[in-house]
Amino acid sequence: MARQNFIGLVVSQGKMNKTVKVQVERKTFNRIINKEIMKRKNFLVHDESNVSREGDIVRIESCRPLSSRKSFAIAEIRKNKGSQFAQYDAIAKERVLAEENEKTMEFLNRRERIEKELSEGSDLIRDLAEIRKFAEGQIKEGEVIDEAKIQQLREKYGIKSWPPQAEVLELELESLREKVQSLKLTIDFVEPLLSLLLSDAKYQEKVNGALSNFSKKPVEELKPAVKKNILRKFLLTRSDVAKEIFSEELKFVSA
Amino acid sequence: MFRNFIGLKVIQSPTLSRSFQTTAVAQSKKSILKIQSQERKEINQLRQRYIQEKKFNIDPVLGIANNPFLNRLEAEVREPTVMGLGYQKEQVDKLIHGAKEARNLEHFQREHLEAETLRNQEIVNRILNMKNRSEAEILKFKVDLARKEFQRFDGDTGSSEVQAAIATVRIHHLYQHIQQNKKDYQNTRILRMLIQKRQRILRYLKNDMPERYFYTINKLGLTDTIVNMEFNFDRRYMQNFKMFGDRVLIKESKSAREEERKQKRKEKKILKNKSLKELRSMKKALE
Repeated sequence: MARQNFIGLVVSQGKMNKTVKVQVERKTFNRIINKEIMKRKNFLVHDESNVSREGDIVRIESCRPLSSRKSFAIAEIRKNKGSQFAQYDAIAKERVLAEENEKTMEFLNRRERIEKELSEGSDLIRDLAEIRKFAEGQIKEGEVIDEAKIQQLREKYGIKSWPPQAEVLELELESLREKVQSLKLTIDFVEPLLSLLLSDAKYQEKVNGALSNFSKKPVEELKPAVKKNILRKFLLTRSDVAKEIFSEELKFVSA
Repeated sequence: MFRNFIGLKVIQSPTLSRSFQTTAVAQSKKSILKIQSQERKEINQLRQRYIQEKKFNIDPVLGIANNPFLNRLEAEVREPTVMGLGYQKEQVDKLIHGAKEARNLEHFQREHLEAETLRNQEIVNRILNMKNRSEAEILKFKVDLARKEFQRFDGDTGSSEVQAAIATVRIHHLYQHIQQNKKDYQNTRILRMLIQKRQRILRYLKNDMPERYFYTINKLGLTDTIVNMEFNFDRRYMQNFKMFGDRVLIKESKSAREEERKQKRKEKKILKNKSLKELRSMKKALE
């Protein structure tokens, strides 16, 4: 006769050595309400190597009585969800600990730096005033200014010249000029080259080589339309590299 | 009814009619064994109780105490250079410097201007400093920091872990508020709903992405038990976890008090036993 077999959920583990509690759900027919209802029963089950964890779904099989309440043993683990969760938990604990240590150190270092700056009375306005004083030569008599310190401050704020020359505002004209340039690039270089490269299969290898680093997916898996788009983007954004790679084809196009 | 009893004749039970000396030796041995087994049972019950208590000893609202992530958020707010309304100190300084330079071009009173600029800077710093901002703004700042740590991609505001993290920050904030204003029943209700919402979100996340789920609960100082247990933010909780100190919030019935006293007496008696070192250490760990 075949042995008794059930499928159940491990509900308690780690409290007894080599034993787990498995809950089995069965349908029974209730004559009073004329309906099938779920009935649960807990079995103590032998687990020789202590592998199962809470939340696993297991198949249990009857065996000779191992103790007064134990006459089943785990036959197989159907779903090891419980052990997987335990593993995830352990990994997450380690990860969180490492991350928190790192971030706390970062925070403490930042705080130390800020405290030092505050105690020295150094902030942007005072520093810039000092740099200006030095640059414009407005030093009073008897005042000593440390040249190395000024250099340090300049490096801190990234000031190369005084007054600092940096583009603060993007002018409309400038952006228009850029647009025109990119359009010109597209018309003269990108579109003709693109149509040439896609027209013949002999350029296939060269194109694949160029796109191997650029596209996120492997080039062989790309659909033709997607590949065309990526190639266009490559030609537009990395025109210098593209001109080098496809120099022969460019000559052909211009001719 | 009384009349019926009069006619009854008292029949003595056979055991009572026997003298004390006739009790069999075997019977006394049996009773000793019974007492011993009773003791063993009581010890086991106490151990089980301690195990259960340890499982549910963690605060289901605040999680494990001294969580490094939440502590760090609290410390970030108190930094001297943190500013409200989303301003950075560097930006503000640059703005003030720019204003000074602009004035510098008009007038040529540099000495006077320098002192005035520093004074202006001090004023702006004081107004914008997080120390002087509203509670709502502080909360907003903390929520934003928490969001940035849990986001899956830049600008992520809706993923489950972000929602859970934001809920946790808000829960801690509201908890403090309610501790100070214990009659604010409206906010108590909001907090109750928020706690259960967090549970719901995390339960969904466990089903959806278990790896992220365990990362999130560990970072927020929660446990799997807290997330999956049935919990209501009620007076029983407030009393057990001393939300309002030692204030008594629930009046127990006489029988319940008696039962508790009985259990305490029993526990004390069991713990006196010298061989039960393990149980004593378990109790110490609980406290």
